[in-house]
Amino acid sequence: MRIRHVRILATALVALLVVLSAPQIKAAPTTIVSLDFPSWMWSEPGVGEYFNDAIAEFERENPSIKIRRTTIPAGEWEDRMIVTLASGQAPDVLKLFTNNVPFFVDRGLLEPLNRWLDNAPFKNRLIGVQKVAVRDGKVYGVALTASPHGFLYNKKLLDAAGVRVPTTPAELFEAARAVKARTGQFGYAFASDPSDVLQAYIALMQWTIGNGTDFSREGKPNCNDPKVVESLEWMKRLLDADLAPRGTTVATFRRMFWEGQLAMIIDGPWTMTYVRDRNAPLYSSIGFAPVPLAMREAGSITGGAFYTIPRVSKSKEQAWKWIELINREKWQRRWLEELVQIPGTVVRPSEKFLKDNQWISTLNELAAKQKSGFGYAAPGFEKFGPEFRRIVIDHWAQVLAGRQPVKPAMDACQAALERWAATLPK
Amino acid sequence: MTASSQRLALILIAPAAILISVVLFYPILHGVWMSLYDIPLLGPPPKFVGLSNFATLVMREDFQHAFRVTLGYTAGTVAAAFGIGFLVAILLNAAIFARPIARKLLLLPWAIPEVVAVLVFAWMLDFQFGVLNYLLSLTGYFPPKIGWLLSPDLAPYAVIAVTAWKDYPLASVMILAGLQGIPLELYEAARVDGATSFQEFRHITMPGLRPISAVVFLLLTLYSFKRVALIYIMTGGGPSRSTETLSVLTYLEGFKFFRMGSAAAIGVAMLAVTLVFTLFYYRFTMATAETAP
Repeated sequence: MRIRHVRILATALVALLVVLSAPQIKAAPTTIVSLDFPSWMWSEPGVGEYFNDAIAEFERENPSIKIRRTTIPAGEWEDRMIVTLASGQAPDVLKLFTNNVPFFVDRGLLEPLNRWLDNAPFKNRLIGVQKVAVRDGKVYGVALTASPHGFLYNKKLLDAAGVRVPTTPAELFEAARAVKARTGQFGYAFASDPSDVLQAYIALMQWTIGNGTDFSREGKPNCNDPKVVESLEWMKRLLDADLAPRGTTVATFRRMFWEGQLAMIIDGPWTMTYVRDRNAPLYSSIGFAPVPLAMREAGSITGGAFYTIPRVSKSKEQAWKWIELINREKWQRRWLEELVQIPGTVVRPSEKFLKDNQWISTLNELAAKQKSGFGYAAPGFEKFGPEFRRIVIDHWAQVLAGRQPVKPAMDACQAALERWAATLPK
Repeated sequence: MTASSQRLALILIAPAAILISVVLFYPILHGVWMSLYDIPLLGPPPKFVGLSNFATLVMREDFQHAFRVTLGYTAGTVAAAFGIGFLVAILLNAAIFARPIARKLLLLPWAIPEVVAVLVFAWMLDFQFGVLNYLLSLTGYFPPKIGWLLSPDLAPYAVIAVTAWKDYPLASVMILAGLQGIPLELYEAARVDGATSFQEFRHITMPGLRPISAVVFLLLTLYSFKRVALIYIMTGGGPSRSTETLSVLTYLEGFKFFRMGSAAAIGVAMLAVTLVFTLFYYRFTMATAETAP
């Protein structure tokens, strides 16, 4: 009888375990809609506060919608969003770098926005880069910002070194040398840590595009083009002369710049915001000029971003409400005048703002003269960007380690890319 | 045990066994399934290609390179972690001053999260601003700046060193347990017979640690073989693929180059290698144990 009781008890316990493991009865549907909105911008100085304030206003106006923020670093953004969309778990508001937009449009992943945009009050104020998101009359994104890379310099350090703002690579080299000799600070910096493939590649692109070339031409690898080799040789010269720190990440040199320990960089306008927010006294001493390379105004990377809505989003209407709010003049003006970055719509800056931020006119000129969407993938290899970049940086790493001069390394890179390109699906 | 008792026992453990089986075997089976398909992420639907992924893999230069790097990394890490762990275990087993505190401090690397440890080491090894280069330059015997993570020749050693630092506590804890399991009477008897310390070590300690050492070697090898986070955060598999192990290549293939079928094939290949290694290893250690005096 005792054993029988034990058996009954054991069976009852097992049954209870099975019942408790069963899916919970769904609670009654909530009236709160949660918008999934990841970004690399949440933690950026100035920009993070901007979005927090905008979200607070959005949630006040839309009490039934809550925005769920997730931070994903910019360097991982492209890969993480591709994997996230592939898993079917798309966010509701998807920010995309400008050069990623065609990739996502090609694969039918984005919702056309025409039905909302046609009635939007800002539809006629969108900036020129907006055309990147238009395909066959359908609009797949709304421009968030345009970010031409320019030449940022610390006037105080240049003055202390007794040099002018350089306009050629040779002048840049001499200016960096003078800064190092007379102030002890580094003259120039770029991302030279090969473990961060994307940023290391962007650094190379800044010089190659600035000199009127690129790592691919007409859909074919172009690594050992004389202008590519010349560009990289200048970069190596700066490292070898210890005028640029070696093995540096982009986060490190931006910090060095806003702390006044670095005289010159090529970067986007967001760094001006970092300086203003982290070291306000230095801000008035920072200048923004065309890159001191052959192409000057016309040869720089134009980054930027778009707001898009994934096709699989379950909250498209709510996502569009966010896009509508952020494109109100109030928020666009704040993006320009507080964050000193180009907003997605045309905003006429105040006279006071132009007076206090004289460099902004240079930024606008660069944005107007540069081809939109110059991004982080070699033309013709956009679909295989990560692999292309990796092969280039693998060979650049040989140069950084002092194992090979630039020309042989780029010859080997060219051969490797040609072999790899031959294996790609047509 | 009666038949009814056995049935009851099976019924009671069935839910846990089913859950564990699903969690353990389903990912493996799904990975094998994926390896038989061409699965481009965000592209056309998966296409069955049979063993084509494996055939291509064997011929790929990057796979062969990653295999060699993996062997070197695993051998280096296991040797270093075991060696350091062994010495630390000997130290902790001795009646040294402040042994309790020493035990805690020497096992600290195990407690530090891997990502945190890697980021700290990456800074310490930084070419421009790293504290290691600074300290070495003070000695006057080293160049002012060494590219520990920039040089394809040095980066593998740097990664091995950090991995060994992270893994040695596991080895030392297990070997310490083994040391404390050796009967003291054996040492006393050996001393009475006039054995030296070295003879005691060679004829009592080493044989006594053989079973636990076999387990430690196997665990360290398996952990090193599959390690990806530490290497990827520290060097990304570079510079120039000098630290690109099979695990890192799997990650790159799947989540950077978006070829999931190919990535799964590398994973299955790694599984096969580790299974074969484990099988031969156990047969060898069993055979050695049987023939031991």
